[in-house]
Amino acid sequence: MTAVAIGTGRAVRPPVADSLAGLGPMLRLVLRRNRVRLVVWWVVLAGLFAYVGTYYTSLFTTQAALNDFAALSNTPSIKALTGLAATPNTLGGAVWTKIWMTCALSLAFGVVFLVTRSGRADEEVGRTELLRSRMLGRHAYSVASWLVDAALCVAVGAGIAVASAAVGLDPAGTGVVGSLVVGASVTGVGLMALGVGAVANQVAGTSRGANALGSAVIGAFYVLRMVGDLGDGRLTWVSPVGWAQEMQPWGANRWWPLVLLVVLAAVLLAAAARLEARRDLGAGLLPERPGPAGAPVRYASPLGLALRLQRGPVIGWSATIVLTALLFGSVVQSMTTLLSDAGSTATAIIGGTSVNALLAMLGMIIAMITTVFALQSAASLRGDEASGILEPQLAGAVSRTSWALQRLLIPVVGAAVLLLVGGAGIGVSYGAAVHDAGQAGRLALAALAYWPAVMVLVGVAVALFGWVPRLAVPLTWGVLSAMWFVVLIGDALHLPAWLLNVLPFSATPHLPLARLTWTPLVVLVLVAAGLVWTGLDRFARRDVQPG
Amino acid sequence: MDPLGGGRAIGDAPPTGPAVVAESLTRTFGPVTALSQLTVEMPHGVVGLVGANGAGKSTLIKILLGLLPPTSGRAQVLGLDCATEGLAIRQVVGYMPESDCLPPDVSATELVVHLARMSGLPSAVARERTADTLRHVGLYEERYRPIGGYSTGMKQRVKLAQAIVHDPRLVLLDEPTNGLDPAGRDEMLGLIQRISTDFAISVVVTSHLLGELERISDHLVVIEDGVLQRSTSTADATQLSGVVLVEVTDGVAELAALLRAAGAQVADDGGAHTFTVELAGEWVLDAIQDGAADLGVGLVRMQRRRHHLTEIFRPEQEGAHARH
Repeated sequence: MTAVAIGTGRAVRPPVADSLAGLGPMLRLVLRRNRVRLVVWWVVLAGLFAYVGTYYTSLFTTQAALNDFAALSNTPSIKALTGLAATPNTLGGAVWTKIWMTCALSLAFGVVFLVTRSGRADEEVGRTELLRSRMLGRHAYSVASWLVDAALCVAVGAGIAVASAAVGLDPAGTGVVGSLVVGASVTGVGLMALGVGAVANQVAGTSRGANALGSAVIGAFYVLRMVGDLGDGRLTWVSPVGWAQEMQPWGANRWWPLVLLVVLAAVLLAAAARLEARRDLGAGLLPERPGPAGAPVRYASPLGLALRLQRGPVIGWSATIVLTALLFGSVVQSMTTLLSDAGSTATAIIGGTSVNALLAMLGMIIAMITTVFALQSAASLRGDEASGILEPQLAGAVSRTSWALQRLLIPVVGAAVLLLVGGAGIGVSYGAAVHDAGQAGRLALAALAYWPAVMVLVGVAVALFGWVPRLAVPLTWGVLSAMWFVVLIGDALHLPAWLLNVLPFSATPHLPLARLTWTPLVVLVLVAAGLVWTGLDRFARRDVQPG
Repeated sequence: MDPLGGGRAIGDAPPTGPAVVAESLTRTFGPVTALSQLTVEMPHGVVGLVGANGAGKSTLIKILLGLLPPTSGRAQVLGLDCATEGLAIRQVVGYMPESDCLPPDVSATELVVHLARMSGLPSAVARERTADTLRHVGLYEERYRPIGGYSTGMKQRVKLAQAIVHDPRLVLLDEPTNGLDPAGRDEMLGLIQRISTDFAISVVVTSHLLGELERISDHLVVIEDGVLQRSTSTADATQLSGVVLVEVTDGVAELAALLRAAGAQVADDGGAHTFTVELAGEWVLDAIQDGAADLGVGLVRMQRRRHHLTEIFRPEQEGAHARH
């Protein structure tokens, strides 16, 4: 298809100005359709930074307290998860360690989703075609959406900078340089994500594909910098997220990595525009192939059909887990060498079990990735109901409960398999480094301990599907995001300790750091079963509600 | 066009020349050929574009709008070249897409005002035209509600309204009656006819239902698998056929025998009280009347039959299918 479009590209082209005709009205349309989302993203991200800044200002009133916090933060887990500030024992550094990565990544994912919403999603349903039937140039809609999203990035960065300066995170005598740099670094990550999202929207043929591709690239940047931060820091420079980290607010206060980010964003946007000029409206770059004429018998069951429909995500998530796990395992050994060099103090602080602590944390990240897969699969119950695929299936000789249970086999069994594979992957790669073949089995079982926790979230998704079908999908992801938020900054929110401890991921014994205790696992499984039961019971009684 | 005036002054010269010209237009999608060497002219008025699903109707419309480059060949809309003057075409052409593409979270008024402004109308004029157009297509108070809650019929009306809000010279309507009940279909066809007669906007309307296009079109274009099958005025296509349908109260066999004896071609058409006669000349009509009088049977009707479009196109379409 693209070959054809390129071929005709040699014909007389309309003037360049034409390709942006209608930009003004399109800016208004993008703002109108995204006004609530834009405001929510801004308030949440800027507000989050302001809140943590205020809280830490009141918490760390002495330099001694800051020094303690810096020492406590200097663990592989913190370095891997959020990165460690360049100057961890300053007020700004403490806030950066706590919240910068969350803000920057949230903005990055948010921007990818916003680009898709006004890009591939509209093109997919033919809305772009409706708009293009007016006096609208080829690039006007895309450029309008990019401008609005870029403005969001700048606004979020500005909000963070203002909040930081207002709270007083800058040490006396430095002006507000640190605040400006921290705001600019978040903006830079957002702009980079805008470029990634724009290209993903041109390459993928569906909105789901565009979101998946964009998110996967951002996720890969995050993992790359994680590996870099755990090592000697050189690999951090491979990742654009790492560039923004290396702007080092309240440390080196570098501006030039921002130039790298802006240039990368500009290059990606230019590439996206070029791709858009060369392809047909409605087509992606990834070729569409004709499917086979017939279908095998196995597609006749709800499970078989679901497996076919979810083939892409199942393969994609499995590959993600394997690659991530192998990468994790390979850095554990070098990490521990660094740690032992640091001397006995560091080892003492994290309980003398540094390797196990790191392995436990990496296992939890594998479990988090697995959760996203399991929730995506569980949420497709509602997805198929909304898109109308459910009704013809129920018209066959299959009960609703049986349909749903067969569908749930994918997240239930798939999560167990992914956890085992992920744990084993870390073990294989780590075991190879320390010449211990037993690590694979040990770590696979350690990761499997998170299966009940993942199932509780699947249960929540099923219960929401049963009781509030129309809100089930956004609420499912909302619950997951809320849980992650609470785990990350729950202490700053003054949430009671029992609430933090009762969350599925906190309640799970963090093997191999902690000892295996069966009680929480059994309780989690029972809770999950109860949630699934109530959801399916309700689903069997309520109306089928296509979107 | 005068975008500010909203409507052409009475006494405007009727448009001359064809509305749409395609010359050996070809468009392929990888291995699929959507249009093959299509050469056709469409006059002003209402043009029906007929073809089965997948015949290439929507592809043709997108090429005409300048949204899709043809693989080869060229096309003109209102004298403007589709490959290079897309924006100019879209300024004077309205388009009603086939897909359910309206954003669910805005109201019909908001959407149509926005699209009108995108076609170059100033804000105040866009609002006024939107109100008029939505009322014209039969949307009243509900136009302030989000489109997500609309029925299929209401959504089709909104799509039609946005296509004519900027007073275009030509509208391209892609399957406007899709998903409508019979009453809704009739209303939609009536609206389309009035776009042409009341507002003097030329219309190209696609459908896979020949019957409904027959009612409103002045000209018909039939494509099948991207190949032009026929382009003809509706009047020509449905001209009187040379057959008379005769219905009598009784004595069908006797009357038929009498006519055969007089030299007329009589065919049984399957009805208990009817048969058809080839109209070889005026004398056949006299013979029917005289024969009925002689036999003493009641003559219920004598009707000259019109060709039905479906009959005319059936041989071509069957031929096209046979090639597969």
